[in-house]
Amino acid sequence: MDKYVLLFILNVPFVIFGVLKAVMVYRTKSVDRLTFALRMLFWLLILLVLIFSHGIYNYLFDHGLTDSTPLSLPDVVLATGVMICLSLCVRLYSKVDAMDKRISDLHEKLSIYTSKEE
Amino acid sequence: MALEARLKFVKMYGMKDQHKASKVTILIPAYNEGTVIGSVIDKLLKDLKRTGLEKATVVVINDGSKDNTAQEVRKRSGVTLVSHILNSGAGAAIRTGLSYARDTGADYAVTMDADGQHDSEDVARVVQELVKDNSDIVIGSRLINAEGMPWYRILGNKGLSFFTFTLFGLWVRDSQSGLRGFNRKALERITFHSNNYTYNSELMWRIKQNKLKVKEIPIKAIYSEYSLAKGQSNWEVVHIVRQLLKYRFLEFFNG
Repeated sequence: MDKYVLLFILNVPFVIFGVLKAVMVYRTKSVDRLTFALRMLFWLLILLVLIFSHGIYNYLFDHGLTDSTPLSLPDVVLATGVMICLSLCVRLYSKVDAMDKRISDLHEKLSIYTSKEE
Repeated sequence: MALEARLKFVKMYGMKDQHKASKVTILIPAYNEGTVIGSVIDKLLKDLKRTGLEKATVVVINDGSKDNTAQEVRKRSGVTLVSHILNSGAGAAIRTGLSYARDTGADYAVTMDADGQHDSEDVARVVQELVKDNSDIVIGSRLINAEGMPWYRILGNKGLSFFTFTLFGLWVRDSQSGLRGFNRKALERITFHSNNYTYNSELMWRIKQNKLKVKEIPIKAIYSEYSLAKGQSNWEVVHIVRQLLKYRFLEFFNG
């Protein structure tokens, strides 16, 4: 199988997941239209890079903008690994932020409650 | 004499009777303000009485102070004290205060600083603007007439206001002002999550998200050595900018 096709197959699920999440969040009215449009644009750009990765490499190589070797299997694994790590980082960051908010809310409610009790 | 002063005030600001029936809560977040909180509250209560707001509820949110802030507040009757169990920051204290105002059915809530920077007459003006103008949020702007404000404070405040506008799209001259009024609609809709001074800029973002009507009125800022030593320094700007970018990034990906 062509390595560029493999790169596409392994990484397109992230794009699909990102687009679905953006649509879901927009439908629940958590974000405005501009933010939704920007998110869709972001994932579209990632998708275009995945689809045209071979063409982009050829363009850069032909114009002397890179002298790196063509995509190899370890490169595909590395790129996919980076995408997985990035997604995990964003999710973990969001979870920590959400927990921070919950703790702050709990502290707020407790403070009001104990002050009323006094 | 007191009646004449009151009539003059009413004539100047056109107080309507309707606001007297409304429940107004004044919120004062305080951290280690034991030396000044007493005089700030005393002056506030006097000015509230003079301006027809004697029924307003004054709430001091003690953000885990280590000094005698709580004791000074308890000495004054008619002032509610809400104490944080842990010191959490100015944003957390404001959020607790707004939550308290919302839960106790306030029609209007006004936040002000505990360090004596704000003239308590301006508190009454903010309430009046909320009622008269039908604005959801009224901000007391120190930058409309910045006389007496140190140049580095003007620079820092303008810089942060500009950055807030760039990131969140809401232009407000003094986004960092601690004197703000909220009507019931704003109290019910506004939530923010910053615990520290970042809340000032995040508040502008949430105002924009909730499509609330904002008005700025000029206020007098009283600067003393004490109040200048308190409050946020320009060096905190880096931390605030970093946090705001983080929130924007997280909201972009998670909604």
